[in-house]
Amino acid sequence: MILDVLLRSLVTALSATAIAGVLGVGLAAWLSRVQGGWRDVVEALLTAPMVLPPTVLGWLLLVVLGRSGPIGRVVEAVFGGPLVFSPVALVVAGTLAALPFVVKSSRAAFDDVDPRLVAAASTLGASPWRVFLAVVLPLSRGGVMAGLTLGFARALGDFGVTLMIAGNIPGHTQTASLALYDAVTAGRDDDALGLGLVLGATGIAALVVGGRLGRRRPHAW
Amino acid sequence: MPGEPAGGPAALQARLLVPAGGDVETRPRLDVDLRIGAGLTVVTGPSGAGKSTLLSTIAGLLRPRAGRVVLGDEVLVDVDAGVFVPPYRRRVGLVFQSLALFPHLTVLENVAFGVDGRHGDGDRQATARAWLERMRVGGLAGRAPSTLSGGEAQRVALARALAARPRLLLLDEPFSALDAPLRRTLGTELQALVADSGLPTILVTHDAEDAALGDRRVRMDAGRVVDDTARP
Repeated sequence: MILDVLLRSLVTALSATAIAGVLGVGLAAWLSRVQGGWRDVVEALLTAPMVLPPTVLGWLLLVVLGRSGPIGRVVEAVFGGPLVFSPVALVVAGTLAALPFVVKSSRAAFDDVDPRLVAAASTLGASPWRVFLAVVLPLSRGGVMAGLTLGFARALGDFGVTLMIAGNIPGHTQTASLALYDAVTAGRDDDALGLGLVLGATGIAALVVGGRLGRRRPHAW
Repeated sequence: MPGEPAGGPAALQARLLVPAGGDVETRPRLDVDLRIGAGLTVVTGPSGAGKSTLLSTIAGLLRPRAGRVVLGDEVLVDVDAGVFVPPYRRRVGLVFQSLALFPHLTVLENVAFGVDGRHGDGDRQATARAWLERMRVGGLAGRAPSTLSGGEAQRVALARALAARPRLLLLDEPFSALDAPLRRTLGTELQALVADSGLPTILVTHDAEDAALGDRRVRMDAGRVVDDTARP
């Protein structure tokens, strides 16, 4: 049972990190280029999952993704099953948990790249897309990797939003942190200890790795 | 009025008005009318005269508020007509004071960065190697930029700019970090390189000795050209 929920958590967190990575790096690149009011609004929306109570975020997602919500209805019509209380909902919750870390850390790293290097690349004939891929992204890899690592740890341990939109269905949508809660309330101390140790150790390891990657000099060759 | 270009017909014609302020707080106002011919044009002037702003505007890194920049037959900027060719389509080489070598790439990869990639990686590297040899730093191909001396980095930066086959080369105080003997050596080499290739080149400097290298000397102050002299 423990292995089953750990594996589900791992697959969910990896999928969520991959999606948050693509979305987050793209959004961070956009945020570091644009100016004006829209940037602040988008940045606030992306950071919201860090500060909103999970119940509020979970409720908002239920309204949008639920069986009668605008997106939930479309998904159910296309795929034949509801989005909420499914493994896909687990990934949605994990992605939202990871996204702010990826965006914030990547954005800071992109902003740190010496603008003269970007200017030099463009005078050498590189299009904005090539400048990003060949200069900005490699020089920001420490910050991007730190964001991905922290985002993964956050997705792995998500509780509130996961419970609200994916439920806590044993064998279907029960993740390690939900199983830990169940184990504590049912007095299964051994299960609680095992899950707590694995989740705690993974989180701290991610903080150590993420911190090291984030401190790495962006210009180290 | 600016003088006739030293090397025959104008390669570059720039009539520019760049307002003060904007994204660079200290950027001075620029209001110049300049025609540059083949050969080496040296632009001098005190700090804040607008020398770097002039180069950045010609390279396309800054947008002027008014004016035109024409390189050969091509209009790069015409504010009235809404023309603005982005820097990556201008083929205007720019060597920064900081040199701006890419720290995550080797010397060879730096020089190959701007080489036309249509003939594949092998050709790009061969071209890059040839330019490194020409700048007498062929042995540094595999090194990281952070391990280079000031003079070596300078040669690599110049090789990188030239390997991209620019139609115009802009040099922004490239020798400022070097000691006097090395400045003199590199200055003489640059002079010879420009004479051999016929590449129109603008060198910005505040060093009087560098100023003597030019076929033509333009002095700027407070965003305007105050003196424009061809070498006799």
